[in-house]
Amino acid sequence: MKMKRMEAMPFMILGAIVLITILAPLLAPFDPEMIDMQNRLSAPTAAHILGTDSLGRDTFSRVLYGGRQSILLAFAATLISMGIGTAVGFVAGYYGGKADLLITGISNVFLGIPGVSIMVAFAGVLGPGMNSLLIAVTVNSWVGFSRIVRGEVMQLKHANFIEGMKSVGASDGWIFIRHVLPNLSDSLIILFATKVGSVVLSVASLSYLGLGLQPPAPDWAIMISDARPYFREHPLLMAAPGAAIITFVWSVHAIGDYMRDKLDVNKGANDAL
Amino acid sequence: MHYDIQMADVTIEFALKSKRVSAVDQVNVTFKAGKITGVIGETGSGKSVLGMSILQLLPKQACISGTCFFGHKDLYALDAESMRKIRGQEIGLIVQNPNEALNPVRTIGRQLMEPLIKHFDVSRTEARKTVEAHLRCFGFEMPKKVMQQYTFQMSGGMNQRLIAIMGLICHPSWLIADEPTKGLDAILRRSIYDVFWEIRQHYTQSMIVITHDLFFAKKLCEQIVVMYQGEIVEIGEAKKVLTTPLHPYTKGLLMATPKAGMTPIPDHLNPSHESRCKFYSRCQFASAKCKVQFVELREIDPDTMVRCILYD
Amino acid sequence: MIELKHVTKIFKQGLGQTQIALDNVSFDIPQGTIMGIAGNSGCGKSTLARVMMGLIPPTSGSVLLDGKAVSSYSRKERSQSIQMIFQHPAQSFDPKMMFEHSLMEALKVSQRIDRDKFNAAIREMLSQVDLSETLLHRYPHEVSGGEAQRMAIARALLLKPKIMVMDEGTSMLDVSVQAKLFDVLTTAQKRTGMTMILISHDLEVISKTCQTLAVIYCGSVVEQGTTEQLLTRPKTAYVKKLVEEFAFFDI
Repeated sequence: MKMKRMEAMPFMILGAIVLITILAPLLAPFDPEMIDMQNRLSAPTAAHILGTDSLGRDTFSRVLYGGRQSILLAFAATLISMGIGTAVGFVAGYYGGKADLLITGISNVFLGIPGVSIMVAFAGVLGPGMNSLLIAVTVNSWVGFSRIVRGEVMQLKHANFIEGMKSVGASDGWIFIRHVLPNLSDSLIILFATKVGSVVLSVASLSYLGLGLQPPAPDWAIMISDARPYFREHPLLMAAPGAAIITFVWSVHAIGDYMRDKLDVNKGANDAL
Repeated sequence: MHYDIQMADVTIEFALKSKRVSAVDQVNVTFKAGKITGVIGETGSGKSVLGMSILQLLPKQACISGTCFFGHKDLYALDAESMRKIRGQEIGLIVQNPNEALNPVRTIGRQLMEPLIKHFDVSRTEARKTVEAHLRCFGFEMPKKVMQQYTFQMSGGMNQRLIAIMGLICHPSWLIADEPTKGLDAILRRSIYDVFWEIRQHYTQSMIVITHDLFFAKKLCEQIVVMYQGEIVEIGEAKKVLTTPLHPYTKGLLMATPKAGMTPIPDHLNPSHESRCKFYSRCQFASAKCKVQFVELREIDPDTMVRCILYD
Repeated sequence: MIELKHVTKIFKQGLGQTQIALDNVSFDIPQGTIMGIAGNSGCGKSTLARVMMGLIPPTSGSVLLDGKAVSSYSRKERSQSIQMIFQHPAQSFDPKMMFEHSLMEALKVSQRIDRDKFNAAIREMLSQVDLSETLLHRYPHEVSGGEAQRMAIARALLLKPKIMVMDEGTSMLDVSVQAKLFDVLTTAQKRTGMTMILISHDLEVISKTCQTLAVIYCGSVVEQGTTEQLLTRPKTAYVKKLVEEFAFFDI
């Protein structure tokens, strides 16, 4: 499949962001945590191309570093949510009955409560830190996966080839791994791509609220939070990390959309012939 | 104004991602007005593609060449607007799969009245009257009630009749029916036959019936066109073609019916590249002559045409 | 030997409504014979097949395979004594798997893996159903309906079942494809001596292949006996009507 130039854009941007984030130690002109009180809140200069923050740290270097933890965290949290959601969704969809009732009931509770309050509650109770952030975000986002997987499995369950496999004697575990998962893969890829973006936002909002990553770690959300008292005079302090978050989330979402179109269109074309 | 449908040099190909697939290959045929013509052949023989092309109902990957004259109009050359006027008013379509072809969330009455109101600009009361008359004619005893119901409240046979009404509500001079008996059991199949008989008696005798059901075709049609891999291999009077077939393929089809003992048509009898005849590889009557000579569809007598060297 | 004893299946349809799909169906089929089951669409034929296969449990009554309830078999044991060809054979294969892997799987789930032996068995089976080996590297949507059906037969035969259920259901197949299919099936039946249950709406197909016949109407057996007796001297109005429908097209 050949991509048009516009379609390739989000992939290139995401690739660039990930690459920059990985290579930050090589690219950054300064140590992102190096305090330089002489140069605090400086405007862009040749040395500090995006200026410095209230502690004299180089904004540009901090933006380069700023995605490291939150992107990693977002991917990890989304993967874990997908694992849990898929397993739970499979049990609910495949076995139905009481298991389904129970799981759907629990899911509805999670769906009913606004996501941020669930996350704030978990992060608050567990205390700040990477682990509690991971748990908080996972607790909030597994439902998104389990609902979709449950629906798809309920359809797949009645597909003739599942009955076909049962009649040649395959066990449920075998059917799940060899037949259900591969047939879910399209939806899971799409779902993953669309979810990563919103998880990055969740991580950012928790960090912004002081419940996620902690200063002085260079992180986009923390940078925005730190910039609050100064952003009227020094808009770049907030604009730079903000732009980074927006670009990242946009490219991930655009990739999700692209995948959905691509995979769905292929399905349609095969059906037509 | 009962025109024939005359197809000349019709070739239809589908442009797929990686390749072009030929569905109909150099077909020349005239569907005569006032006759029911059955187009028979296996799945993939191009019979449905040929039928749907008449109303420009093929997916956009289809590349059509050739002409299809209906009176003095070439149906393949018509723009979308003129085609819309032909559909339903001059050539009606009875679609496959009645259970899916009607909209489940609109009442039957609304769906049947819609084409009348659109095409003829009649009032709703008039349209309602026309629809009621048609429903009664097709054996619905309480048309008023049926018009307020939805398709899922109907049985398979009822939906099949509704689809037929849908096709002929604007009184087209021609009707095309696509696989009317596909996937139906014995009793429904019989009731479909009755529907077509009804149409023939009261509406129009010009029909193209695309079907893989040999017995249905034999009972209903006057003329038969046999297709194999996109080509017409035999045309003739229905009873004649389906009792004393000429082409080896038609013979094979009849031998494969349960009545004749279900003898399958053999595969790979001869290497297919040796002859230009598409049936050569499966043909029991193939001879050395087939390798050198190739016969176009040719006339045996005024009603009968066959594409085989045996009748040279 | 398969026996059905007073099998009833009731489906729940929400809002407390129920639908009786099978109503007190009993018959038994001696080993090695071919029995036809005829009836209209929606009469419960396919439900009957699924109940016999143990894919869905009956609401009451029991299905016995060699005197033992089908529900007491493990899925593996059951697969080696009864196999089924579904109404839509192409859909009974995983769309994301090549036929080679699908056939291989059927062997893998029941036996210890022995690739060479499996390969030989699969190729041997393909020649029996008259399919080319090149089809093994195709996906289910890349073959014709008839080929998929024969592939399904090959998969079922690989497990050497004692009973084979063939759900033909409706007249979706071209006569030429159908003829080939029954040629392959009846040859396999003669060779293996398995019991075959042919579910079809087509009395003519049944009369050519089956020794005995049960006609189902609205979930219950209305008439049952030898095929010849049923088709030439039908007792009930329904069977008479069915026979007439076929005679009607017989000019």
